[in-house]
Formats: sequence, structure tokens, C-alpha cells
Amino acid sequence: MDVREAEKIAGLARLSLDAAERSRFAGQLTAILGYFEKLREVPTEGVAPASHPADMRSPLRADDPAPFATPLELVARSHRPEGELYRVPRVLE
Amino acid sequence: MELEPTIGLEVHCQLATRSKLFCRCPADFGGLPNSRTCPVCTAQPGTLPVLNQRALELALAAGHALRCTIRETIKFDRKNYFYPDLPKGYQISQFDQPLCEWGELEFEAEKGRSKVAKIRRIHLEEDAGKALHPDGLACSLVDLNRAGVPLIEIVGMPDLASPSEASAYLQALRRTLRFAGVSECDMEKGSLRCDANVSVRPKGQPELGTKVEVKNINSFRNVERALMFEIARQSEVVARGEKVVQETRSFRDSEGTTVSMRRKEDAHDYRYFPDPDLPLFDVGRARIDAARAALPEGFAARRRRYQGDWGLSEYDARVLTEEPAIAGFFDATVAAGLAPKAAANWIQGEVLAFLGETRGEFEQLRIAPAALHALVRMEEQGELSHQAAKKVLRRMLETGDSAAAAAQALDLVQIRDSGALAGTIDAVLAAEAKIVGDYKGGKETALNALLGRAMKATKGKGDPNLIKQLLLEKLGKPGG
Repeated sequence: MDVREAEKIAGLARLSLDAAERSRFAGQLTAILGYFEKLREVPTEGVAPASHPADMRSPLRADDPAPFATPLELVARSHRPEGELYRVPRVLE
Repeated sequence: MELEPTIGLEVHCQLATRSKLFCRCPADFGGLPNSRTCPVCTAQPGTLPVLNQRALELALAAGHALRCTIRETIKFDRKNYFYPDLPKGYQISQFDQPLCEWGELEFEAEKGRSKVAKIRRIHLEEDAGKALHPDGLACSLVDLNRAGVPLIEIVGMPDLASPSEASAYLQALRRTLRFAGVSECDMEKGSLRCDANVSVRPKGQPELGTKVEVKNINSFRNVERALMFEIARQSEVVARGEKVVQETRSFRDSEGTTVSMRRKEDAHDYRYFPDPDLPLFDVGRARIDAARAALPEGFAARRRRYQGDWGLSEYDARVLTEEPAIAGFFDATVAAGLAPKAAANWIQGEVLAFLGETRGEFEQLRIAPAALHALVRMEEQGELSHQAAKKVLRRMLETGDSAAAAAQALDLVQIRDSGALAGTIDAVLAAEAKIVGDYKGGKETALNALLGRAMKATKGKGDPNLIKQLLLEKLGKPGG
């Protein structure tokens, strides 16, 4: 991975990296990807893809609403709430 | 160079569940900002999502209604992007193993020509919250009531050849989902949302042109407006010898135009990966089959039944399948014993007229199918004239009264007691000696005049057949 790719990924993750960091992380990510390249050598023909580490199944729950008792407390604990609303840096579409 | 457009729609629809997709917050529309949120849907650390069974069943119903192939084991993935209305920084969606694939929707592309459009996939995902940008504030504000509300996204293949076809497809899709009980599909409330992928290419060219995604199409009318504008815009770009840029554009309702929002992301920019919080789900053959068995009859099947089995006109069948509630009420009225044609006439006439005047919804109708049947039986048995029956039904619709109670309250029950009518008839005969004379002189039509006077004297409540019979008994044959 080159520095430009590292910069793009940092942008998608909203991380701001300086030139030294970009170069350092590009090297580390290259090593990590290299490890996956190595894993790719393992023969996996006939093996089902494992999307999760444990072979378990998720439960379902009934469609039975139960309002949370103190939703506005969650808002109150956020950074500088505006009444019952969360406040965030201005975003425009 | 002649250009032709190619259109595919991506439709989001809110599933008709009571709670959210992965937590137990109520999922209904409205409410004070953030009043329907909890630690799960606001992404507090340490919380875990648990899938709503009803949402899965409704998504299965959509898959069956659109004749899809359904996957027996499904996986949820994280779609990562940053926007403040998305508290987790990712949306739980389905990437490479959607619940349903390869379905189809038959719709009337234009009067008398039906067309089948392919459905590429249907997947389950959660909705985002809502970001507000009040004027004069240096910040934006976020309401997370909608965050986590269950949606399905229905991705259609680019099989649509014109804006009017796209609109007809969307109408048919909406009706299909409503009849399947999947969603209310109310565009105004945001429970049905539509994005359009549109491109143009020289006529006859096999490859598709560069596609542009148009977002924020907020009404059925605007589907056609947005597409017409966008096709004209792309055609001009091509005519100038330039290339259409792949991007996302937003529809501006007030101007009827589209404006560039951003360069279109590629799927890998979303860094999809399996959600570690949600191991695989076994949907299971049994659940898939149960959802198919529970699927209510669709509008197209109902139209065929109304026309084929019950002999209704195409027009009647269409009106009665406009909304699931109308069709349900009609079927129940017939099941209660009313003849289909009579039920169709009463529902299309008085009932729909009443709802039109009062701007009411069929769901809030205050009469039961059996009550409509009872009313019609009163008319058939001569207890109400047709005109009186209409007035009685009106009152039933307004008050929820039974047919008998409404007829009593309006004092419209026909007088069918010859004893009670005899006095009235004697009085009319005494008062209208001249007409009686005409009749006796051989003027047959004078009888109708006497009948009219007697009906008037009973304020329209006398049974006309009985009055006529009593008049004939008293007067004998004309000229006699």
C-alpha cells in the first residue's frame, strides 16, 4: 500500500495524519495485507466461508415494543445538547 | 443521434412493525425528538442488537409477493460512513447475502400493455436518524427517533424505459407491498422512498450509459418530473459531445431540477464487513414456507377473481382493489351474504363518496360489512325505499349506528301496515275529488297522481306498492 492509499483510507475513517504517520501506517498496513496474502495460500476449496469466528446462530426477538425509560438522559449526557436534540458540528447536504 | 433512457429504481420501504429492527423502541412515526431512542439505537458502548422476528417475516412476505428466491441463511454487514444521523458510524445492512434475490413485478406500463420488470434483490437494513439544519444556528441538530427503524431496500433492474414506466412500476410496487401487509408505503410520511438510477445511450447500443443516481424524490408525481429533467440534462451533455459524470444528484422539488450532491461512492468506500455483533441467521425452510402461506391475496389476483368469478366490470375491479382496506371490506361484505354486484355498487357509490367528502380513510370506517348487508336487506324486504336506504347508510357512516337504529332515528322505515295507511288514503281521496273523478272517468294515469299525493302525505315513508294496491281496492278499475 502506498502513501496515497493510506491517505484515502484515513480520510474515509475521518483521521487526519501527517506525512510521517501516513508513511508509517502505509508500511504497517502493507505488512498486515501481506499476512492476509499469505493466508490466501491455504487451500480452502470446499470450505464454506466463515464470516464469524464462532459457528453460532443469532436469536430473534418478538416485535414487542418497550420504550426505554430515560431516553432524554442519553441526550443530556451528550456534548452540549440543544434541548431534546443532539448537537453536532454544522453539516449541510 | 437518437438517445434512449434506461431507468432502475431503488425503493426503501418501512416495514409495518411495532418496534425497531434491533431494539425494542417503538417504531411509529412522530413523537418528541429522541423520545423513541435507547442505548442500542443511540450506539452506546456495550449494547448488542437483537433482530426483530416480525421484520424478518415482513421482509419474507415482500420477497414472496415479488416472486423472489429466498436465502435460508442470512448475514448482516456493516456499511460504514460518517454522517451525524448515523450514530454507530455504520448502518447495519446486508451486502453479499441479501434475504431475497431475483424476483419480478408485473405492472401496467401503459393502458392495456403489461410489462415484467426484474427485481435484483431485497435486503433488510436499519434507517438512519434525522439531521436538522436550523437557519441561524452554527451547528446541526440530530433526532434519532428514526434510527434503527426497519426498512427493506428493493433494488430493481434497469428495466424501465421511460419516466411514465418508472411511475407505473412504483405504483404497482406500492400496491403489491400494501396488499402483502408489508408496509403502509406512505411517501408523505417517508415510509416509502425512491431513488432512481438513470442513464442514456444511443438507441441500439447494447452497453448502458454512465448512470446517475437521483435522490430525494418525495412524491409519485416527482418520480416523472425528476426523471424527465435528468434525461434531458444527460441528453444535452451527450449532444455537446461531453461525457456524463457518474455521481449522485438531488432532486429540487421547487425548481423541478436535479443538482450534483457528490461523486458516487464505490461499494468499497463503504468498507462493508460482516457485523461481528450478529452471527448468521437461519431463516429456515419452515419460516420461508409459513410466510408464503400467510401471504394475503394480491391485488392482481383479486382483480381476476372479481372479474372472473364474480362478473364485475374491469372498472369495478380496479376501484375495489385501489386499497387493501377497500378490497377487504368488499370481500367481507360478500362473505356476509351480499351479492358482489350490489356490494360493489354500495361501496363505490355511497361509501367512497362519504370518505371523499370527509377526507376519511377506509380504515376508520365506522360500519361493519355485516351492517351494510343488513341495510341492503332492509331495502330488499321493502322496509326502506332506495332513496331512504342511501340516507340511512349516510347516517350509519357518520354515527356507526346499525341499519335499524339509523332508519329509526331518521324516521325512514317504510309504513307497510295497511291499517295505518288506510286513513291516509281516505283523506287523500276526500281531498282530491277532481283527480278521483278523472280516474273514474277513465284516465288511468290519474292513479299515479293519487299515489304521489299519498306518498307525500306519508312523507315518503309509505310503501308505494302497498299504497297502489290499496288505491286500486278502493277505486276499482279506471272508468269503472
